Amino acid sequence: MNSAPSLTPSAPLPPETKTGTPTPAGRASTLIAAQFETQAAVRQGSAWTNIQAIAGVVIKELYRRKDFYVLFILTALITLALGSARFFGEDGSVRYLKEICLLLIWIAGLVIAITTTARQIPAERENRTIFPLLAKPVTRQHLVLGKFFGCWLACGLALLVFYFFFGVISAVREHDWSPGAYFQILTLHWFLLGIIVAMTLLGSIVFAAPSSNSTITLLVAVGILLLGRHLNTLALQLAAPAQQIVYAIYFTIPHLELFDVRDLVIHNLGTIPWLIWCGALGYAAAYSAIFLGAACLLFRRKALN
Amino acid sequence: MQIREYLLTLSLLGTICFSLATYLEPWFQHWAGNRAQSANVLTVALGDSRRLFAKHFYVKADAYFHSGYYPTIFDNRPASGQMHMAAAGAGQKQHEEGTDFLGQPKDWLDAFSRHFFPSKHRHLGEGAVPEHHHEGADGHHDDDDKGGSGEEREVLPWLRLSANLDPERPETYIIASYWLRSQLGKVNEAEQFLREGLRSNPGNYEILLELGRIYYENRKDFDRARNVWELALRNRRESAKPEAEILPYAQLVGNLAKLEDEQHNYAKALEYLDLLYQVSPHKDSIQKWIDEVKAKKLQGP
Repeated sequence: MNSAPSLTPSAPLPPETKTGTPTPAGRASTLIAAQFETQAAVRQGSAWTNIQAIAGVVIKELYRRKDFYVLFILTALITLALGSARFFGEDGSVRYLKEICLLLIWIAGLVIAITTTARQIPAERENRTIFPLLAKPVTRQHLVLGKFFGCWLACGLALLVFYFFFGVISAVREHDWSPGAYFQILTLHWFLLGIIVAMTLLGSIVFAAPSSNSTITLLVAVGILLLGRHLNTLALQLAAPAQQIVYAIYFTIPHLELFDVRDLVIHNLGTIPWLIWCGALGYAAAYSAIFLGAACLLFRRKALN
Repeated sequence: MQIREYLLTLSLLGTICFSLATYLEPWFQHWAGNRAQSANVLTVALGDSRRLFAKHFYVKADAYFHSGYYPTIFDNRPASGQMHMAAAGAGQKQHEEGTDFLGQPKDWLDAFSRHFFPSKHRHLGEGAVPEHHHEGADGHHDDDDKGGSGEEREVLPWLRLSANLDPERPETYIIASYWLRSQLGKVNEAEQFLREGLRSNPGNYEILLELGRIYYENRKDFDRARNVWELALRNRRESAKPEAEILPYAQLVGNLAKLEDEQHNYAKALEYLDLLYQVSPHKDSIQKWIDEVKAKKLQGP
């Protein structure tokens, strides 16, 4: 654990430095402050380097494992097989194909995010590689953040491939290309997976086995996706104490369904306002930060063996 | 344990299995719940649950008709329970829509979330919603323009799938046929699909009614239309529950009356108009029609 220095770069300087006529004491303070600033920058730089290095390993792991390839080939095969079907001699029907392709992409995205993340920390502990990894200067926070960014970026890369395939299929069948809508669905999906990755990382510290963590996280994510939007409607139909409880749950849970804009893309309903889109990304970032913060906090006191 | 004992045990188990199979196999072949009797892969794989999936895909087609703006089980649904595309298919211009099932946003999160899913009412074939498009107070876009953009074809894959899963659901054939012939100009495909429906639902009068429309409206083959509709009327009278659906019956006798009126068979037309008068809620307009036909009959050919 790195303890914060007593004099930080943000600490107030003596008043004479502000007037432009520094005294010897003021000059000494400035020098000390500059020294600490350099050290903090080096530490910050090394922290980011550590996080990057850990994230890089996770990304390499994704393309070495077969999960992604299997899921992508399955998605492509099912989509192409369905795309070859003609109904009543009509070859212009495309929305059913977009719906099924997006459903497969969402399933694949969830599976990749959860399975990749759930095994990260338990595998390091099981193989006992966590001890050399946590040797100085890598801290436990660096490890959690590195794993998070690695898994999240890996999900982003996988999504890029999936959505490129989806875009090609849609453009070929529909002869229409809506880059704004496709960019929004990709980014929203990616940020949704950010919340799920952070949630799974937290679960991997709380739960004993990766399998239980994967199952529970998957159930929670699917449950929120299916029911999250309707909890307020449900709450209004309940009596007083239950109503408050359900409403509290409604406002507490991360509303993953907000990021599900598949219907807008399927039915060509255009883009959502960009300010709303930014708000959704901010919402995702806030929840990811909450889950990551909780994961870092719990991992600080977690016994490694 | 010796190898010989293993072999003897395996032989004994094999003999028991064979003996049981000779008893169980004939029983299984005659068992009512045996799915293997069906040649349909979906029936074998899904059993009776395929009807649930068929219903789901039928509803999915209706959701596509509304471009994804569709109530879930948590939202308020229209009381009639009839699908909107079915109502449109049955020629009901003012079909009940349940236009604003979402209501006012319940909280800020609800209001925010409505940007992320279809929350405006529109129908397939209306094209992109232009800015000058008239929108009602409830957010419903008036369905007065038949753009004929061909977007209606998007409901067809789900209807086809629904019919494959549950062939004994006549409305699937009727709706698909309506969209095929009226919006997509695919009269042959519509007729073929209806005949497929008739094979699965022999003599179904609603399918015959729709088939008669194809002959009357699209093929202008009035004799065949009359034959098909008269068969439908006979089948309807012979069916167990003649009072079940008034609307198809009214449409059937109304179509027959119109056909006979146009073909100058006024006596037959009056006969059908009498039947229509008994069930129609618009008795004044029917009476007016009857008077007109009577006048024509008096004038002679």
